[in-house]
Amino acid sequence: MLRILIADDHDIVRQGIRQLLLEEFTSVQVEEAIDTATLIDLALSQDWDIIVSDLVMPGGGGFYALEKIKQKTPNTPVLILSTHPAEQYAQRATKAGAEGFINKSTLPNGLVNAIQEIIEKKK
Amino acid sequence: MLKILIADDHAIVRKGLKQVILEEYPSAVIGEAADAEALLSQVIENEWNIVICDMNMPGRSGLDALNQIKHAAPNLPVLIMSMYPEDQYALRVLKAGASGYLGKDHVHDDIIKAIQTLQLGKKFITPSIAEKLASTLGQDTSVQSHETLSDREFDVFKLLASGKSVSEIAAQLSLSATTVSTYRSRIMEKMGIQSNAGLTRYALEKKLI
Repeated sequence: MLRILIADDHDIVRQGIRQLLLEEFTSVQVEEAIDTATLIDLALSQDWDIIVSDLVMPGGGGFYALEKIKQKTPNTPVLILSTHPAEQYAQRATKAGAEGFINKSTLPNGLVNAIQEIIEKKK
Repeated sequence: MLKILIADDHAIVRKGLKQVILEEYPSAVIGEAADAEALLSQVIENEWNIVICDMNMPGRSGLDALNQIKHAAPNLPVLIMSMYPEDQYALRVLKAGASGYLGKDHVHDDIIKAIQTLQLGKKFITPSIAEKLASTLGQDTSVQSHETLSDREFDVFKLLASGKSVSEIAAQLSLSATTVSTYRSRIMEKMGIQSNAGLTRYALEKKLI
């Protein structure tokens, strides 16, 4: 069973990602975080195969959460998802320890491929 | 049978919205459009009960698309959704003929209520928008300067404020550079602002971009 945590403050985006993951992966459990604090809390208190997080969220945002998650559980893969273009933020995200960065406009295919790639690498 | 057309440039938002609607209306027919051009041709080619349209899509803005939809199908209810705070845009889109306005934060909670209201031929407004509407009654002197802009001027204003050049805006809105320049000077005159940086500062202060 694949365990995926998604963090985005827009409920309709979370719903879309959840639906996409349920369609694409046969055995998957998806949990959601609506803000930075919930993301950090869930990320550190449970085991995840991958965390998919937005950058802009109330309470500090994706980069802040990424730093906290990587300090405590460096092996949990984090994929950053953003409306910002990759050329502006991808490098900063990977420097901060993220396993990947994708632009929201490349969804849905981009997300599924990125998740598969990151999980394969971890094995 | 309920036929709903969803226009948003983010596939994941369309997917989420579709899912929420289908949970409530399993037999609904959902059409999708990724930009304003596809939205307009779908409106012209097919019959819909409701259009749900994002305010910000590549190319023409949602406001521009709304005007065109109202021209092509005046009785088709259009619900506009946006990432922007409700109080800044709601009045403008309602004035332009939209049947409702939803901030994307509220989509999940309010979309079904909004669809039901629109089906009754009524407008859907959230309590915070109703409050804003009430507070504007009889207060013409306090109209903010961006509210005096026409819809097209407002689109150009937002693009200028977000750092786009006149030629980029001309290309994006399919206008000539001269027309955009004319809009620019009219916007600055109406708003009493002398530079693009001033427009940017105003837009940031009012949370318009």
